[in-house]
Amino acid sequence: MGCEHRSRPFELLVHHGEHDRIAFAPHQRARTLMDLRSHVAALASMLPESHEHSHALVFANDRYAFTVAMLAAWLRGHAVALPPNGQSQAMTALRSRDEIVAMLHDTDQHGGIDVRSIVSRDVSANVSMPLPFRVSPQRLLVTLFTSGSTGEPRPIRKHAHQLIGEAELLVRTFELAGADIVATVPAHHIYGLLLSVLVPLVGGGAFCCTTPLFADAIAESLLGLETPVLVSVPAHLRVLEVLEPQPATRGVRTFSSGAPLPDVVASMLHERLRVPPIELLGSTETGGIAWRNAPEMPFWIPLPGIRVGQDPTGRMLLDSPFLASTEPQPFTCADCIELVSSEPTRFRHMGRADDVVKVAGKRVSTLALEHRLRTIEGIEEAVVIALPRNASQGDPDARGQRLAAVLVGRERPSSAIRAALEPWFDPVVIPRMVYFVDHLPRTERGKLARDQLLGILAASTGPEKHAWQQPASADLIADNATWFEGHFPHRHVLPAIVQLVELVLPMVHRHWPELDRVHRLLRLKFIQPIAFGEVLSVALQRRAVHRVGFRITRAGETCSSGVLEFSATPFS
Amino acid sequence: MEDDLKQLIVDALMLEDVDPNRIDSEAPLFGEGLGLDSIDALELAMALHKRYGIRTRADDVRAREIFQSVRSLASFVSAQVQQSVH
Repeated sequence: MGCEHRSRPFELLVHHGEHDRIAFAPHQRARTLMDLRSHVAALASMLPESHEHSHALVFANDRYAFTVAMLAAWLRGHAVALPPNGQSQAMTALRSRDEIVAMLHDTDQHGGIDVRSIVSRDVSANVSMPLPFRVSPQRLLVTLFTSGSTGEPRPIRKHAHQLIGEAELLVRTFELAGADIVATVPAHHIYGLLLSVLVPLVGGGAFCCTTPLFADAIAESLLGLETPVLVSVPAHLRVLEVLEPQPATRGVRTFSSGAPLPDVVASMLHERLRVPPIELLGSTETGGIAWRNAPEMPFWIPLPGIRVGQDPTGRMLLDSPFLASTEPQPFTCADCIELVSSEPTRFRHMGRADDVVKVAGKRVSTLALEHRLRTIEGIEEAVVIALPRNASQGDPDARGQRLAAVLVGRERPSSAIRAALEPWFDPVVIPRMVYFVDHLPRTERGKLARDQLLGILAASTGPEKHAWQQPASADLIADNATWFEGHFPHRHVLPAIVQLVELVLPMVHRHWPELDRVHRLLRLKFIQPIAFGEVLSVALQRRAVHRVGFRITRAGETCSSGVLEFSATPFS
Repeated sequence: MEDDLKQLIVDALMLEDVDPNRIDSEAPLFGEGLGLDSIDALELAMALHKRYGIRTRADDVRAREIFQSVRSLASFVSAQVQQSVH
């Protein structure tokens, strides 16, 4: 398709009439193109002159305020800088960069220009943004700052051919012309920026100013829309389960991105909304790559004009008009895939190979978290690891991945550690679990022993360390023939009861002789069958005085896990 | 009711390092205090629906008030459950 070679300028806001609405929200007056043009022009006149590379830092919770700020910066000749989140330190760190010449926001926390003072004004006929608004394909429009591995935010530059080109492609591919868009994700990340702001600007639609989160707030925002589209992430979509079938949600087309949409959630949405949800795969670096309709269509299909291949190590090779023109084509992505067919291209997405993890659809670099943890006084070493998502869970964990911080140094409550990260990171990505250990498990060559760490953590508990809370772990081989007898004729599979009685309980009683009989079994999961002769690792962790968590793993992969509750508690 | 909710919070949010008996009924659930976040609020709303059959029917501002503390949550849940009985 060759969008990267296009020389014709893009035109924004050409499909709206002067009185067509462009932004709406429950209980609020809709904003029209006329409002937008007036507010953009008013704000642009307050901005300093642009120079090469000059940026306006924009952060706004209200999507209309965000859009006014973005367009005003563009109109004045600036690019827009978007922070990874609105947390105070993250904003302050960006503001001090040379290229930032203005800050536009709608919060009470920051200096700069409060855009609310502009968008609350009555529309003036005297100042109006000239239309059509043209941008050349090679113009730098947005720099997205993501959590970089060094702790410094990493800039990802987006030119018009990438951003506006992709918005136009999304409008064509998914028939989004004139759509009314409600988003549960913010506008300052690439997915929200494209789907909830740029798609309406180029496609003649409108967006909801607010970012509803709770099911009822979402339903209220969708009520009465002609062509409702919901832009969201799995962690937000799954709670729509609580809604009774109602007119507000019937026929809503849903987009999901940021994490795999669990099949149960996809089916629930299809049934409630009567339309199958569309999943998008992409990243800040690459833009959109592929889409699918799971569970009916489980494999990813590249978006029109995009080619996907696989290198010998399983990394995705990408040819895309939405890559920066300075990148080689094909571009080797941080994503690992499995090509299912090449004509036509269909693939499975196997996750990322770098330090970036997604928590509830929000990206964060574990290296950046570690870097920041090490700056806390008294912390000598820090490792952040993502605990694997438990695929066997019928009810998927909303976060997808949970992060744990393992620290060496002066102990303090996990709340204090979390508080130290709070000015820098979105609360959702701050590690939920904080553990202090005497030393990090390392291999002979000094590398972090991740499997061992995972084994301890998975069955582990809180920050305080008492003697009785010391974890236990042991390796063994499942080669006792009597364990396999009688249960599954013709199959050498280690039965669940044998795992408990022969592997877990003797170890519990060796380690904590004071524990008596098992009183209750909680959260038992037998995920992978264990075959004769396999090498296993059993990890135990006392979760409370009378509870022990166990996990049996094989080469780092969980076979079974659960919690045993004991009846006698000789001390308290 | 408050004790039930504390147990529900710990179970629904998988706060394995938190003893429900040690949650302060008046302490903020979000931000400082228990340190919950927006995803936890959604999960909690869903758990309340499953357990008590109630919906927060809230816009996000109202939800923030309801989820302020165990105490505010308990009074909301009690009122809702009563309403559905009558």
